[in-house]
Amino acid sequence: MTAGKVVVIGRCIGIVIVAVILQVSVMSSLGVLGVRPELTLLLAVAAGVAAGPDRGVVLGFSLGLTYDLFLQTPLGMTALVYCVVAYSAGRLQLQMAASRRSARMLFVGIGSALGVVAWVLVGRLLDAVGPPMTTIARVAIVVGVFNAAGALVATRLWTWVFAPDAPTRIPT
Amino acid sequence: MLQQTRTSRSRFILLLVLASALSLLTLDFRGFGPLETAQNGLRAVFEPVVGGVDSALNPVRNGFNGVLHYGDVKAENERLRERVAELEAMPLQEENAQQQLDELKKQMEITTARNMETRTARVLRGPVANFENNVRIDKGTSSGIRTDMVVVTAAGLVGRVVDVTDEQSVVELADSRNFGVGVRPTSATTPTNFALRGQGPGQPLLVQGDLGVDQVIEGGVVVTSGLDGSVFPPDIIVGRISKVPPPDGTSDGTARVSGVEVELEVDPSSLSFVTVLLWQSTQ
Repeated sequence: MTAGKVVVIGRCIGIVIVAVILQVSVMSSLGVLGVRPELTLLLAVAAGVAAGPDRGVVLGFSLGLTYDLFLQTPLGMTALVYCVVAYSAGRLQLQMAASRRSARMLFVGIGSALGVVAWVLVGRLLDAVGPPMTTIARVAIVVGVFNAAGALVATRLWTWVFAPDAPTRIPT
Repeated sequence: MLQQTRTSRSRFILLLVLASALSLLTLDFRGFGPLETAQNGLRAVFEPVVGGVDSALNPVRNGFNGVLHYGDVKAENERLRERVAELEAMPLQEENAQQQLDELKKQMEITTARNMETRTARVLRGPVANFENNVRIDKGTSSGIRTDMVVVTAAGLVGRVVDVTDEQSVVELADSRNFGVGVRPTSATTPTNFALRGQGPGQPLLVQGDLGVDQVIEGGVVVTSGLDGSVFPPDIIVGRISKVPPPDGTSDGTARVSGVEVELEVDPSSLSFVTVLLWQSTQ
């Protein structure tokens, strides 16, 4: 393994751990309209968009699994949803070859909202969660908007991890 | 060709990761011991860091919440002032009567929530994720706490313990969806027991089935029935009947109502300290 790869893996592990700690400690007590920001989901979807589906799926799984440690839902449930969402966002991004700021924000926002819905659907299948439809819609919309707003920072973070020499400006 | 190889590799990675997630889910559902031990161990490693970050960023978070929820905080403050005034006006005789009743029950060896062994615990944090409805407290098995033990405050029922580690426990709140508790109204003209079921965070609990109109009075207090085999000991205040819809039928000549709701006496969203009753059902 080259030194470069070690650095990349180290950065990934660092980001995953810091993100989950922030999610559990800070984000869990913040909220707008009764909805908590989903930093881990933002980073999972952004990983797919910025680093491609292959890396996205692994990072989504890692973020979800670490987050799962703190949740009361079955272990592996969030990991399952995050990896699928990150992979889908990455694949769609590749197919549409969209790299503009607005496209990234849209992908991350919609991906996050769908991630929330997918998480609830899997939770319902496993009989782990079952909120009413209005709550699901509210959470999905607010999380989608939050994450769209944070999309550029999150995708830039993953670009820094995997391609630190890439141009910092993203076409508007 | 290169594109095709890349897509195949990509799908292979996805399948591999999906298989790992599904394996973990299966093992978790089967209650695989080593997995639970590993999960608890990792959580124990992370917890001090989470706690440290939590404390360090507390002022920032409080400031943010204060700005964002100024109106709610003001309304809550006014509500609490009214409540304090109400409690101060409560006659002392009532307190004296309660003490006498407790003493009598103790002498007759009747177990109630007021005379059993308890542990006071601090609420560390509320729900972590958006669709969860629980709180984490700072006492665990080392303090004698076990799964299914009942958690209360002076105002009434909070919930029950669903997960315990050495130093912490997770309490499922009473307004969680599908949280069930057997209760009885204290002011009904005809004694009765019925079941309540949670409808989700912030929602009142719903009475299961229908009741005779003389069995429920709007504003009446309901307490745990504590029937044999119940997870809950008797006489813990649960809440007040907040909604009695118009009768929608009769049975044995008695008018019946369905859709009766009970508002919890405790506000689960603003807990700082709770009491765990070190009591477990005999069945």
